[in-house]
Amino acid sequence: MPIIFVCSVPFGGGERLARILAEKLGYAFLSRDDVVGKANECGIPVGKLEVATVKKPAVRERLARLKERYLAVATATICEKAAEGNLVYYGRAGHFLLPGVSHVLRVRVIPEHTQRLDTVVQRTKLSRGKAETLLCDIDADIRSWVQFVHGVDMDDFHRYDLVINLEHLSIENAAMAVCGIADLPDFRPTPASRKAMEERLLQARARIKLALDERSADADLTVRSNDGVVTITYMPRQAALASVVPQVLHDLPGCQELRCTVASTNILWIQEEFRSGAATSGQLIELARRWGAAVELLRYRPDEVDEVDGAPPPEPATSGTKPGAAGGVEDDVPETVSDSDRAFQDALALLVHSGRSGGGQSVAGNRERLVSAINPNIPYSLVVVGDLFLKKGSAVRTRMTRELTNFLADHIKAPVIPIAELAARLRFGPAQIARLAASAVLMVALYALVFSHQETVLNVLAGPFHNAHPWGAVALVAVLAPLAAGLNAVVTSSVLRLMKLD
Amino acid sequence: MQERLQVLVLDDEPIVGKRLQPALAKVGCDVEVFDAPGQALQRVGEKRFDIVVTDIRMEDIDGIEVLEKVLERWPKTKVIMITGYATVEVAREAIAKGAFDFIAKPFKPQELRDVIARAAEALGFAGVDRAAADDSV
Repeated sequence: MPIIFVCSVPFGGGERLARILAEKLGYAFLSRDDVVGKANECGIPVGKLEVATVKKPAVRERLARLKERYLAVATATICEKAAEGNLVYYGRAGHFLLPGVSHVLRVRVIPEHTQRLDTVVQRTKLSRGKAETLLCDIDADIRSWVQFVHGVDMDDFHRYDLVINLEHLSIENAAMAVCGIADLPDFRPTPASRKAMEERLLQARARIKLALDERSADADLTVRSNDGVVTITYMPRQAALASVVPQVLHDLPGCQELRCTVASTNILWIQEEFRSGAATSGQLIELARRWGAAVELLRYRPDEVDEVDGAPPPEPATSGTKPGAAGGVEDDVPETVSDSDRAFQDALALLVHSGRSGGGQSVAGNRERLVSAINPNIPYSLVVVGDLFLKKGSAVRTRMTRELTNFLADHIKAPVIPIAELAARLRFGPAQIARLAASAVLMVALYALVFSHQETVLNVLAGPFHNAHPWGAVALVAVLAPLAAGLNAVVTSSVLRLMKLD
Repeated sequence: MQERLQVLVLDDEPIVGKRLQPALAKVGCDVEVFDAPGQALQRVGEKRFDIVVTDIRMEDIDGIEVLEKVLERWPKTKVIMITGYATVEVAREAIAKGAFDFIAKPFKPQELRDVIARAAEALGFAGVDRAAADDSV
């Protein structure tokens, strides 16, 4: 029988439907409250995610990591409960935790508005007007929470197997209808589906263990599992994790083999100030996705001097709860977070959120100091030089950035390009379409010309014309071959870029 | 002399009040700490506090009820909710019922001081830092 996920906004009858369903079918019942309780037991302050949804602060790295941990706990809790037997889960969007598991029945409940309003008025003692506003706010927050945590629109009904509108249907009858559908063979577990769930569980357990161990808590790790083989990929600058990960995961239940690998490609982005929402972040994330790479940020302040010369660069903001926090009140460490630091953390958060974070560091000083901060053991695939020397005038800034780019290219074993070039390389706009079209037309015309005049071409290459004018063949080949190759290259590279296969 | 900000802190875990009391006194607040909601509400009945900081999940009376009772008695008092079990629903309900702000545990005292500074500003105080300066004179 399937795992039944009942999703609904609060006070909408979804939880009651899920409970009735579990009772009718004799299934175990699990709700989001249980998952949140389990996460809190593990020291994951889920309330921070909830409040952030309401107060909508700028995204922070801390929240992105918190989200990953919450998702791991939620996945493990649901999978473990489902492994004990059949299960009905009630929550906001739990079914997104089990992609690839086919014995899942995804039910969305649309509440009956008046009844929902009555419930809220009765429970909160608010006036109907205020209760109406409260419901609108809660619904908007929950949509935004699902978007942030799962990256999907919870109101996209294509993502459900069954949508139940309680406007003309009682909860009891709705439960009966779901019971009938749950019995259909389409939702029965298959060996492949069960295996997919085991893999999800294994992956989630590994993620939790790594998140709860202080040695690996703040690392940017990718966790995958296949046939009981757990693969942990870490970023090159966190090489020390190679020995830590096996220690942390040595007793991971269900793990037949543990592989610890370093990410194969890395993109280094050097810039003086990182601005949240900048288009470059999106372009680099897109490129990193195509390459399967991680993006490492290096904030370089050429006009400043490191306070302690040779000191290791500061690590980015860390995450997780502090073990010493008493009663939920942490130690009062004075924080002087500037707008610049905040923007840098936001840029890191965006990368963590997209699963492409290669970490970040700040460096101040001359260009030799910058090169010394770049780890020579990391096999960068690309170094992108962004806006630097911001205190200088435009002309000086351009010249100094160009000089630094050349200096880096001489000292780093990776292609170094300015940010403007990155945009030009990735863009596929009207100019690129026109270029592709013109090159394609010219290429077709060239081949058509050659094939429709084969006799003439052969005459020039090896016929009577060649005997009379031997240099003619050389001239023809010297013109046509590079032209054909050039056009071919433009068309092929443009098509590959269009297909995002560059 | 600048009037000092009167703050009541209520949390059924005594350690919370113990930690927040010096953290808020440092910026010039007169802080009274309670770990029993009943006693806190009795004190609210006797004295007008500028700011009430209350936990939500408590055994006898929950924080939402404290919020309602405080605002019923002193409508201008700013109530700040703190909780380790925050949910969107509870946060929104608290705001709908007039809570000034909502902080999820764990938090640093500075986070609370920032919210208190905003509340003080809304109440027309020169700011908690100003109160601290006066205190030192």
